[in-house]
Amino acid sequence: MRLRLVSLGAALTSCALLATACSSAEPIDAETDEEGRLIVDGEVIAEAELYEAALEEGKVTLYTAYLEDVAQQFTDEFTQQTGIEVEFVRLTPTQLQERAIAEGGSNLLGADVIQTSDPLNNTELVDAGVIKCEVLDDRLTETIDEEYLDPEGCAYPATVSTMVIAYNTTALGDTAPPETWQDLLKPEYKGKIGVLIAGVGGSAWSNFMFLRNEFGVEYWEDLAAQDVTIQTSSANLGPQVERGEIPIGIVSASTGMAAKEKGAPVDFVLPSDGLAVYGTYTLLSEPSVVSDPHPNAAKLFRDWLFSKAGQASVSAANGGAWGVRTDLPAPDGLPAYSDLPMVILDLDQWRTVQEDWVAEWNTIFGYQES
Amino acid sequence: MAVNLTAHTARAKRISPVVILGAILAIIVILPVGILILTSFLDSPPRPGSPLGNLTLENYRALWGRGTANAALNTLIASTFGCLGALIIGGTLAWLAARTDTPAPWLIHLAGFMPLFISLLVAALAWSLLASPQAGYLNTILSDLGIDWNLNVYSLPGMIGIFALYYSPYAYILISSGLTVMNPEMEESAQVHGAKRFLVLRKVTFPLLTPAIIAAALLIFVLIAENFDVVQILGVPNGTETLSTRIYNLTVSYRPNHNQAAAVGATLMAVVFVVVFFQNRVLKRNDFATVTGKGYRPRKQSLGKWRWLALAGTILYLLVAVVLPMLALLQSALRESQYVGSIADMVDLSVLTTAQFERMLARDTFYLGLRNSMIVSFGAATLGGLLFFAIAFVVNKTNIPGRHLLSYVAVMPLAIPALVVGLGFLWTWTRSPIPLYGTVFILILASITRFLPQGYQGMSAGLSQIGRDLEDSAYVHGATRARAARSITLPLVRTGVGATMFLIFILAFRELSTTLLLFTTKTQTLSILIYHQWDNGSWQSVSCLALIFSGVLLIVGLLGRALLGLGKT
Repeated sequence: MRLRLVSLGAALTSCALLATACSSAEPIDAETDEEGRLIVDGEVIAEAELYEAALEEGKVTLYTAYLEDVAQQFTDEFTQQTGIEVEFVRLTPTQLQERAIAEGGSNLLGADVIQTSDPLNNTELVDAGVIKCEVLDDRLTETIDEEYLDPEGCAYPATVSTMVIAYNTTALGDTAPPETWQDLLKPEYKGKIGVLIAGVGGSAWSNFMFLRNEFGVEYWEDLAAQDVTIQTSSANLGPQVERGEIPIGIVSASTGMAAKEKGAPVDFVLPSDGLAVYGTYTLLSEPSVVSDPHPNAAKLFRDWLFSKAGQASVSAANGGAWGVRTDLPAPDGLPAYSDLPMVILDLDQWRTVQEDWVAEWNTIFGYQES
Repeated sequence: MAVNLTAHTARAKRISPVVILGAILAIIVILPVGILILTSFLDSPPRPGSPLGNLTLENYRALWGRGTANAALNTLIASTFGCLGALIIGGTLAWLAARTDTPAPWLIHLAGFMPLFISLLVAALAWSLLASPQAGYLNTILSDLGIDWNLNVYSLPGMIGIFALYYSPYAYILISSGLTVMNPEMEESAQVHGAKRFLVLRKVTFPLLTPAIIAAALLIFVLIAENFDVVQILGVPNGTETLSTRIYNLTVSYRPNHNQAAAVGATLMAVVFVVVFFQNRVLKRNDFATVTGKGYRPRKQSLGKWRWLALAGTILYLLVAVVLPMLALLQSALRESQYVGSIADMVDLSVLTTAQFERMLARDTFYLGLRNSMIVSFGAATLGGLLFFAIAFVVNKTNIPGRHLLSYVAVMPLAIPALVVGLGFLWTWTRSPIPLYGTVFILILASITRFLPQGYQGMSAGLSQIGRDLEDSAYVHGATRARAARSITLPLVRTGVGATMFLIFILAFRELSTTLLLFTTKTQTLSILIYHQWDNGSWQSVSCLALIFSGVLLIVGLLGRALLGLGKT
């Protein structure tokens, strides 16, 4: 009898193995020019020497905070365009931080490249000795918006995004949807708004920090007086707006776009009274703390991320995000970056006020009183 | 009660089993837990390579505050009533299946087990789909039918209901183990003397089942107290806070404070120790052994016409706990847009599509996840099962000094919330000289540790029903402890052991929080896949995967019953 179970287990395992062996992968379409440089869409991605070394290494390992499906998409495109495999692990920024530092401390880091979404996390990673700071090549830095250049080369955001006001048109009914942050304070929206806690990550935090800077702490108090529903994660809030359970939600642009694309009666607005920008940063790991390093493939991957092809790939995969190069067209469904009232937050202020302001936010919104 | 074991002890000096088991437990439990306790007294997380922080009592000081008291009160209410509900449901089902002539005992058994296939995250999601006040499917149906009733699962009673429904399998399994082994002689003699059915239950059956009931109550109470998923989805939106959301805030949120989270875990652990202490006292003082050397045949009590009511109740329970949520998941899995405005929308075939199922089943990551989940679960159930049985046997069936220490260590992982235990593993195993980190074996080990309390309590529940005279007579005839365990005890508790192993299999299959910090691309499990889709905000994908997930568990469950006779009374 036990044998039968074992043979079943073996059958299942072999099914699984078979499935993985016969996977239909996209055909590799890597182009090189006469000098052996890697070319994608007419742009040089890597010099011959780097490309050869990267191919030798064969793969790059990645810890990423981009959503699973998003990462799958752009890493598949990277492999298709370069012939180099990517093995990635998706983690939330908090989990990623903990693992990167703990693993790095024992030289067991499982990633050549790290993508995470908080500038303070970046600093902590660098201080822990887990990151190799290396400035991007000039041909790339020339094209990147200087707001996003890191003079030390430790962390560059590959994409930037912002929070929007998304709403369910059917759930709102006859009420006109809000168009600005100030609109949210109007009486007709009382009890209809859902927000994420300020302590939930770079996105929600940056939005609330901006709102307080722009309109004062009174804005927070007035918004809290609107009987807002609090959610601890975007994984909840987005679908609730989609279902109409919560008519209006402050969510990330990608959440808003995704809901709309699925055919739900959801639309969103980019408020004209200011948009706080937050980025998802790419960092190179220090090879000496990586358990199985591929430094050349890693460098090539990062360079690809900031090439035109890479930028287009990541922002399309993410949806609702802009690349950081200045020579890119506007992403699908969004206005061009330069056409929007983008606000870049001051990192020093962020570092100083965050802890106190989050505590204040919690008190004002009645979340987790201590 | 202690039989002279000189023949036994005069044998060659062996290393005491307590020492061997203790050593194993020291590595897999005490190390990670020890690091966490240390963490609670430091001001920074003890990551390898980072300097050790300073000692401080600040983390414990921070626990006292009005908000914490409020959260603790909610936790107490939810845990108490949820536990009571689960015990009543699970216990009733166990009694109906094992001791009465209710028709279709296989159905009752299914009802007892099946809610286990649905993880609390999925249950919260499914009930959110069903009974959220504005957009819930049930509410949509009710309003379309003109009935002025609104169900709101976003409430404390709603959460308590979910807890009672989905933790009842623990009660069912543990109380079942006790019942199937329990000698019905005493109940029968009570009936012969004229006691009515309920008197028998109250005065004979119930008291004899005390070990199983206490074990189940302890498990369920603490698990509810720690449960985060349900509160996150159903509680936070209406402002209900529990201790677990506090821990969430401390570990998962933006600027995590692992040290405070460790302090909460350590405090919970102290509370659990106190309860286990009383549990041991109760078990030691009374003799619950009913299985002795004399043979017996369990006889079913006749319920008369009440048995049809019992069957109807079981079916109703199955409908509410399993069928409704599955239907909700199906509805969600078949639609791209989660917006459902009316009954017509629900059956609108132009919108419903199986495309997402096809997409999920076409992915390599799905099969990889399935394979890893199977490996981890089998490993945890078999290797872990061996360990749990050994510990339960030593603690319950021997006189070896020091054995009670094992029972305390065995419940340690229970008290530390999963979110925190995962950190302990991460910090321990990245430092380990044995290169297990990053392999699938570390996931098996983490699961074994995580479910040690459930495994130990499950094995114990059956073992304490068995009298000592059976094994003692084996010792007198020269058998070693191991031989006695294998040849005498094991066959008697086979049902309970099998049920516990199956429980561990399912729990390991569902396991998420500890593995989140330990998995790599190649060792991703199915539950991590579900979690990623959840994080994506893609409820359709989650519903899809959850249905497939439950399907796999159902198949394994049926196979287990068919091949190994699990669950046959």
